[in-house]
Amino acid sequence: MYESMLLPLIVALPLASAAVLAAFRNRWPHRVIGWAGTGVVFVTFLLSLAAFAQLRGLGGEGVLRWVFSRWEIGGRPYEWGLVLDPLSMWWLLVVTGVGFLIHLYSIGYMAGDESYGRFFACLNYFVFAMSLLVMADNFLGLVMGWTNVGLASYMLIGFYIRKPSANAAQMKAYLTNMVGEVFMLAGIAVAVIRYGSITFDAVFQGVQADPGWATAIGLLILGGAAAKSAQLPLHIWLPDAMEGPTPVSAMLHAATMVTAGVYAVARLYPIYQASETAMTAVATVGALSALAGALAATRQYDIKKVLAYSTMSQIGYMFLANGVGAHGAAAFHFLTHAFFKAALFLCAGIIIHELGGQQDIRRMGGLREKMPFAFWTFLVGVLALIGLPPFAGFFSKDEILAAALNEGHYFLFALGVVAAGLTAFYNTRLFSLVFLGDPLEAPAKSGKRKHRREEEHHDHGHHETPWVMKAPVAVLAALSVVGGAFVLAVDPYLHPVFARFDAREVHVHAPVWAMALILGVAALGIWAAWALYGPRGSRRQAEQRSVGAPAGLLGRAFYFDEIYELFVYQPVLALADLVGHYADPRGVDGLVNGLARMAYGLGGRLGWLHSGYVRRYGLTLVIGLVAVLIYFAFYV
Amino acid sequence: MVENGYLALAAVLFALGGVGVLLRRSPLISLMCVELMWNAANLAFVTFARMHGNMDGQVFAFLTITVAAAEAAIGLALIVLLFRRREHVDVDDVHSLRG
Repeated sequence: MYESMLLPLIVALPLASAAVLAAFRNRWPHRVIGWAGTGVVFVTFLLSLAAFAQLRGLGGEGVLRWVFSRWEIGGRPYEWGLVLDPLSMWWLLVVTGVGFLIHLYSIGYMAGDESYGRFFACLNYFVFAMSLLVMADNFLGLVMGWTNVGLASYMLIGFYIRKPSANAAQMKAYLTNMVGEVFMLAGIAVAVIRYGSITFDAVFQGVQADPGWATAIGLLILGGAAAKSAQLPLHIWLPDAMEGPTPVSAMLHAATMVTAGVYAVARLYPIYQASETAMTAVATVGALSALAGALAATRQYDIKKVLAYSTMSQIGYMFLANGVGAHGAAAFHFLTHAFFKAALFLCAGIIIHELGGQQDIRRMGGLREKMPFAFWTFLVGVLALIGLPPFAGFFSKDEILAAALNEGHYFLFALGVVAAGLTAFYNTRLFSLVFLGDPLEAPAKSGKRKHRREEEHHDHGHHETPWVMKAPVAVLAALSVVGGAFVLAVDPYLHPVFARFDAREVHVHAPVWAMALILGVAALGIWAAWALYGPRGSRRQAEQRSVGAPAGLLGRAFYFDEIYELFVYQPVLALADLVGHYADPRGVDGLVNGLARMAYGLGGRLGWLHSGYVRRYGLTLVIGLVAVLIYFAFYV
Repeated sequence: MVENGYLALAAVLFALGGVGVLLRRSPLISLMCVELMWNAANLAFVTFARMHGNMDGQVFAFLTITVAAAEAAIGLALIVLLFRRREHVDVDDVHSLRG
C-alpha cells in the first residue's frame, strides 16, 4: 500500500483539460485546441508510465492508493479512493496510450469541422471517465466512471448533432446502457447491503467468508457489463453507435470503453469465482456473442458496421475468457484487440476520408494501388484479427480458447472455434471487397448518404492523408504485429492481483491439436471467403451490384432490433398511449377537473346571494343588524 | 335624562337613513342617506361620551367624520363615473357583479 499523488493527477488532468477546451472551444484556433487536447492525453500517458514505474518499484504485492474521502454512515466507515494495481494499470496504460494515438489521429481527421473544440473536449472528458472507471477502488467510483463513460459515449455518438440518425443512435446507446446500469446498481446495492462496504477488498473478503449472495450479485453486474460491452442481448446499440466520427468508433466503441464490462468482471473476479452459475453465465454470454457478432459481420455492407460487429464478437471472446476463469487471457486479448481494432478503425477512417465520406464496401474495391499505406496497415490489422501467427491476435485468442478447453467447456470451445472461422471469413471478405480486384468506375453517389456537414467536409474528392493520421495507424499496426510478445509478460505480471483472493489457476496453453484446429478453421474461413468474394469470387459481382441496406437473418443481425421493436418498444408505446389517452385524461385530469367542477357547481348554487343589486345588499346588512340587535336585546 | 332624548334622536335618524338607502333608487340620495346614518352614529358616540364623562366617544366621532369624508369622496367619484357612462342612473341598473 503506497499513497501516490500521481493517481488523482491522472484522473484530474484530462477533466480539467476538457473543461478548459469546452470553455474556449470557439475562441482558440483549431490548431491550439487539437494539440492541447492531444498533449494533455500524452502527459496523462507519461504520468501513467511514471505510476507504472512506481508500482514496479513496490514489488509484486504492492499497490498504489490514494484516498479521496472517508465518511461514516450509521457508525460504519466508508472510503472513496483510487487504486492502481497491475490490473487497473494494464487498462490505464491502454486507455491513455491508445487514447493519445487516437487524439493525434483526430487532429487530422476532424480538421475543418466546425465543432472541432467540442470534439476534443468530449474526447478528453472520455479519457477522464475511463481512467476513473478503471482506477476506482470501490463500487461507487466504478459506477461514477461507468456513468460518465456512458455520457461521453452519448455525446460523441451524437457528435453530428444535426443528423437525425446520429441523434437516434445516441439515444439508443444511452437507453440500452441505462437498462444495464439498473441491473448493475441493483447488484451493487445487494453487495453493499450484504457486506456493509463499498470498497472492493472488503466486499471480496465478505464474499469469501459468505459466498451465498455471489450468484445474485454476479448475474446482476453481468447485466450492466453486457450492456456496456455490447454483449447479447444488450448489444443492439453498438452497430448504430458507428454514427459517431470514426476516431470515436476506434476509441470508445472498439478499443477502450466497450471493454469496461470485461474489466468489471475481471476486477470483481472473487465474486464471480465464488459462483459457478455466474461464471457459466459470463462464459456463455461471451461465446454466444462471439458467434453472433461474427455471423452478423459476414453480411454487412458498411465498413464500420463490419468492424462494429467484429468488436462485439471479440469482446465475446474476452467474456468467454473471464467466464472460464482466465482473467489474464481476457486482459491480454483486450490489449491486442485495442491495437488491431483501433488500427482497423483508424484505417477505415483514412479510407472514408480519402473517398470523401464513402462507407459502403460495395462502392470500394481495388483501393490497393490508390492507398498503399491503408492497404498494408489494414492487412496487418485483418491478419491480427483473424489470429494468424505471428500477429498479436493469434496469441491472445489462442489463450482464450485453450482456457475454455482446459476448463472442460467443450461446447463453448466449439462455439469459439466456429466464431474464429467466421472471423477469418468476414475479414477476408471485407479486405477483398475494399482493397482487391478492379477499382470500381466512377464511384456513384448512391452510397450511404452522410451527414451534410461531414459530407461537405470530406466531399472534395480525393484527400491527402496528413502524417498525424498515418503515424498513429502505423504505430498501432506495428503493435499488432509485435503485441503478441506480451504473452510472456501478462500472466506473471497480473498474477499478484489474482493471487490475492485465490483465483483458480487456469492453464492457457493449448494442446497442439487444438492450435492446429483453430488455424485450420481460420484457413477454411479464408478459403471460403476468397472463393466467394475474392477478386474472381463467385459472389463478388452480385454483392457489388446489390443496393440498399443488408437484409436477411444475418444482415439484420438476427432481427434483434425488430424483436425489441415488437416486444419492448411497441408495448411501451402502447402503455404510454394507454396512460396518455386514458389514465391521465380520465384518471388524473378527471380527479382535478372533478374537484374544479364541484367547486364551480357549489359557487353557482351560492350565486343567487349575489344579485348585484346594491339595495339588496343593504337589506342584507339591515337584516343582519336587526338579528344582532334582537340577540343583544333578548339573549344577553 | 336629557341624554335619552339624544339617543332616541340618533336612533330615529339612523332608521330614517337606513330606510332611505333601501328604498331610494338614486345613488346620490343613497349616499346622502348613508351620511345621515354616519351622523346618527356620531351623535350616539358623543352622547355616550357625555354619559360616561370621558373623551373616548368624542375621539371616535372625529375618526368617523374623517372616514366618512373619505367615503363620500369615493362614493361621489363612483357616482360621477356612473353618470358619465350612462345618461340615466338608477342603482338597480348597476348589477353587472351578479353572481
